[in-house]
Amino acid sequence: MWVRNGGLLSAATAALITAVIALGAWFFIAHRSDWRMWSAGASPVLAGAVTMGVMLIAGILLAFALSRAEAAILLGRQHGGDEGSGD
Amino acid sequence: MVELAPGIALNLYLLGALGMAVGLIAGFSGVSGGYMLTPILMVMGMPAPLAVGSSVALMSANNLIGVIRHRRMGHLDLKMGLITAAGTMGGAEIGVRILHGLQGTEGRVADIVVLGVLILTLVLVGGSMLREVIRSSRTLGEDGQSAADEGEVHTAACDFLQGLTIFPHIRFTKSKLRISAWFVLAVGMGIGVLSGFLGIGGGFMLCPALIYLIGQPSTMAVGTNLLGLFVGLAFSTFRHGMLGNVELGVALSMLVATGAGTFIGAKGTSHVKGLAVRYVLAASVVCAIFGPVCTLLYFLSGAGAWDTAAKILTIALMIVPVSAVVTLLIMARRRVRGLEVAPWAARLMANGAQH
Repeated sequence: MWVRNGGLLSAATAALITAVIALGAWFFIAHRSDWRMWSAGASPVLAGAVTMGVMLIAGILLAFALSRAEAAILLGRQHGGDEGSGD
Repeated sequence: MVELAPGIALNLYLLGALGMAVGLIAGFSGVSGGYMLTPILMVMGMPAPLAVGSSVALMSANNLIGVIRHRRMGHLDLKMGLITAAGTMGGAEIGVRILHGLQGTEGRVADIVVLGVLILTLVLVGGSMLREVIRSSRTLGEDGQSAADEGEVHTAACDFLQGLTIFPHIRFTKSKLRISAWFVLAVGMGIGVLSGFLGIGGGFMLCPALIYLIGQPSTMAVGTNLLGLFVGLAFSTFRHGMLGNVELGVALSMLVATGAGTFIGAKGTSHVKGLAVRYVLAASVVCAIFGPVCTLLYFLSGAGAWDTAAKILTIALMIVPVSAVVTLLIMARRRVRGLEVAPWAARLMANGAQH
């Protein structure tokens, strides 16, 4: 039931988005020196805008991931309730 | 491990665990947690400008999540939020410029000044919070309802400020009050300076200021506070990004951990009374003082023992508010399931708590 009513899809979406943010973190750690060299050479406004943009995109993605995780939990509870009532 | 400079390396797993703890406390108390994050990053070995920039970047993303959630719940006065935001942006610019000016000085002057001002702020705010919490717990009635627990608060200060008809005297329909925009702007600006200079969101000061000085209802103040802070923090991120003060890898990896912690912590808020939230907030502010004090002593004396003490205290004292939140969450869960809870915990649980 949980799988059919979209619980699994919500949980998978949340996990996928979190993985994308974690991948972004890994990218900036692995290419730290390249990123610092680029931001030192680029115009300060561009470096600031890219920094702010990356964090805001990550924030929006995480907000969406959390809402999906919440939906998955709610659907899981509904599913538990249905099972408990014998539906 | 992330190597920031020769001899300065950060353990990402430890930062992730601490980030989750910060998120748990922040989500439960409705603050952004910068007053815990900046000291953690500094104690872990990050120079002050990098710690401030990365902390601000992380909190801007975290606050955006809060703004989206509170907008959905209708706890957002957009007009007041935008005026506060204009103030925090202006203040953040001043704060960033002060920090940038200190960066040019020799030695660890920037680190010492940032830590000194941070400790002073935490002592003042933590002290007043503790006093208020102790007073509220004394007035906790037999029915478990504190006089100062929920609802609107009317102080002499907000009555006075609302009475001053200085142009533009604006009506905020969602908050059901009329006040001069200058006062809202000034409150936002004061918090913005701290956000740009110390890397703290300032929610633990802006929210009480909106309630006790401006006279906004508590529920509206939480969302409005988050919008004001978000704009200020996003602007601070932009400015710190311009100066190369943001470690994006560290900020993003900690964001995932703080996001997960915030999610769990925020879930628990609906099960407890406002007083329980204020207990945790006061404990977290007071516990956040000791680590930076030891780091400051290390910078001033150069004795390695203070550095070790700072690291141990920062991590050990995080356990106090985290275990308080976890205990309250477990008690709330037991209560929802109809199981027995400790009498002290029952007094702190919200009446009619739901799933």
